[in-house]
Amino acid sequence: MDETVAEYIRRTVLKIPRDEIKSMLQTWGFLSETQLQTLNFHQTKDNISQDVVQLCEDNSADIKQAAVLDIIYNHIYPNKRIWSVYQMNKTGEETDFFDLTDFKKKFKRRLQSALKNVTINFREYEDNAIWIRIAWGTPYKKPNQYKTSYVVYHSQTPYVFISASVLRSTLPLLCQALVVASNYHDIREMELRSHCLNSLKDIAFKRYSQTFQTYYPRPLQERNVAPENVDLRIIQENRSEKERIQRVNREVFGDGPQPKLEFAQYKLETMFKSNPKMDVLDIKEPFRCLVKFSSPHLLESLKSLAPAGLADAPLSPLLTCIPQKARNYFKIRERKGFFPGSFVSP
Amino acid sequence: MAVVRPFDKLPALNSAAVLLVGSDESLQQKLAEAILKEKKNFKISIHLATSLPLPSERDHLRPRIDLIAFMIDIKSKYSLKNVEASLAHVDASFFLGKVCFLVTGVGRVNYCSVEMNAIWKLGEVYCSPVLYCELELEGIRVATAQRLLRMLQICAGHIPGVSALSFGLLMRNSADE
Amino acid sequence: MSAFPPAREQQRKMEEGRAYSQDGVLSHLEMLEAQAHELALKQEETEQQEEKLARLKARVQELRLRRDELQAKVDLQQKRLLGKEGVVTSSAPDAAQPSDRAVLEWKMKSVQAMLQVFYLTGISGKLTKHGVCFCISTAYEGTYLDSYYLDLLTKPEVRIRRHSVPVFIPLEQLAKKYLQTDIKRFLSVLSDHLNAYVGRRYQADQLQERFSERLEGALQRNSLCNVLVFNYNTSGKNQTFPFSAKLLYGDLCRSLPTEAVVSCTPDAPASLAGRTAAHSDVFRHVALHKAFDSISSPEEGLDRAP
Repeated sequence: MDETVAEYIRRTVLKIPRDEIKSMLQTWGFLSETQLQTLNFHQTKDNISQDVVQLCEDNSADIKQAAVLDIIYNHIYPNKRIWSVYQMNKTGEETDFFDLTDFKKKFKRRLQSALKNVTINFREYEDNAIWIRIAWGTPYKKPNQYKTSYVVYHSQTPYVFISASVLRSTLPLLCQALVVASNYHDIREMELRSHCLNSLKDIAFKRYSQTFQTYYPRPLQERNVAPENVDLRIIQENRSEKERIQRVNREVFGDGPQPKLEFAQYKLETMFKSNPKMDVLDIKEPFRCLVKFSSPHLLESLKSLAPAGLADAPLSPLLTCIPQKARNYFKIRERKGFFPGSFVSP
Repeated sequence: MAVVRPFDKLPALNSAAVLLVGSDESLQQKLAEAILKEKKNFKISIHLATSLPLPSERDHLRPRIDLIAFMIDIKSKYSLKNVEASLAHVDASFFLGKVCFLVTGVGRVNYCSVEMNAIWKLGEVYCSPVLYCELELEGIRVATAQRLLRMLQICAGHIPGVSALSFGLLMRNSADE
Repeated sequence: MSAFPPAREQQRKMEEGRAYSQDGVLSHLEMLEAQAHELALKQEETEQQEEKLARLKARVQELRLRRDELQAKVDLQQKRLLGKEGVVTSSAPDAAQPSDRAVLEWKMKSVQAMLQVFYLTGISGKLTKHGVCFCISTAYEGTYLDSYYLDLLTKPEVRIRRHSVPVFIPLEQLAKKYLQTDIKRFLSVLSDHLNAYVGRRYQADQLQERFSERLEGALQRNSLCNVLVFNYNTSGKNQTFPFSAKLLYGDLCRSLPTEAVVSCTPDAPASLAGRTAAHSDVFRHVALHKAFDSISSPEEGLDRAP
């Protein structure tokens, strides 16, 4: 077995939390059940990884198998990477049958015709997602297995989720291969990025919770209503206002949990509007500034701003349009119509 | 919109009403509960509002307000702005000792996002005492509740010989020194 | 404590006091104050509890009274029904004429119920501030499945504001074709698409759920579920899967395949190979999970015969 393969497997095993090593190796399916039974999972992770490598040596693993293990790891821990959403367009209207084998073949051929040294692996999952792992090399160098690109594609959708390699130059090639393999014409970045792949999917596929007005009675959901204070001596003067906030908030954010995003960025390139009396800044140059919101769970925190009394409801549409516009990087220019008047209240 | 007035209603026997105005509702609720826990020999009603003016549809249900406490969180500029806007809806005669400013979050000055000077000035301009506290801490919350309760008793006229005005002057003198 | 005689008790307290006074009078006072405060808190709490108890008791009384009242009403009604079966007239003098308000409320309720029932038809709508919000409910063979929503703006022209239709449904193309000109058509075509998609998905799910032992691994499908590829056998007992099928659903508005290619492994017996055409025919005309029901039973009989 190749030295680099052995080292790669060892490092991948080291990344896995100890109590999940066994189940992940089982999913991998490369080592037989009897081989797995010989492994002692109670020793240090370093020793476990050595033993696993030894077993792989016996089975003479190659980089293909090692890559599959890496895909499994990344599928379970997609949050370790940052994902970016791309949208593809086509001019024709035909909706074609999607043939997986055909897709794989085209994708591979495209990449390999441009670059000989490249490792490509596919793995399909139940939700019609295809995971692609690509390790890039150069004409004279072997693929670097530690600087991989990951692509998650759902068949027949125009969206691709890419976690790009640190080797930036590979991105155009990757996009090209995707467009060709899935019969589209062009591809563009949607300015939507997060660590949480599933939330990105929810946003792109419009599966996040939205409220629609209907007569159709929705099944009653258990909501976490704080137990109403029964002490009659405390009187809420703004009860109706509070109810309005709740209602507005529900209209904007829906009932369910929000998709998880970590940041939103607004680049402002607008003119500075000052009081005409104090002609301080009568400059025609746009006033450049960058506003960045970050939070472990941005949309959920935006949702709770108004009920907590930290901002006026409804919030600025610039903040609430994130899931609907499917982007969290914005550029705001003059004359586009929507200048954030009362942009952030807190 | 309706202005809150101190003397537009007759006082009820052996009772007092305090109005807490502030944007952080959870803190308000906590403080109100702390006040209720204290021993008192009169009927109390605590009115919570996020801002003034109060909605007029409840005017007839509301008793005479004896004390207004404006709550400012030094961690939130919005809370100060909210209080400043609300002050316009308070009748001038309230400022004869029946208003106080409650500044919370003093325990975490490094997160301070309002100018302390502005708060201090607010107290000066409106001739009202400024109480500094940290409502997140249980002990200080209890002490603040006791203080507010005592002030409420004075403002409601339950303490013979001390009026809200004289108490306010007393507080101011000590603060000026 | 009550065991102490009063005199000794007092003495003990004084000693205690003396012990404290060593730390100074002020700290003693502080201690006393804290004690008093604690006591006051407790007293207040018990008072509150008593008050609450009284309030709750009153509430219970009130509710009991109301229950008795209602019970009496029900009894009366039942008696009347038993007494004059069939003659349901308002002859009873105590049957108060329903007030206008009650009639209005009743009417409102029935209208609301009608509007709710509309969702059973598959397409229902509600006017909103900006336009209309349509709900398309899908069903397959009497089972209600997912609902999808479309929020439309009507001014200045009909436009989709938000929706929850899956991305792989060609919504944009349909909108381009019909939305401005014929909204009825647009909704019905979209509903066909959604129903067909949901139906295909339902069949595939059913197949996987009920016949997993007769399939080799998982079904291979795509998002629209318009290509299904699987290997199967006709009785769950053997471990070989001689047949392989590829179903193509050319018409996206239908939940039955337009093309079904069934092939047999070359090493399978000729008796099996001859069945592929029949299988293909069944797949094209019957829902997938039902097709499996029908192709299995005679086969099993054959397998057992020799």
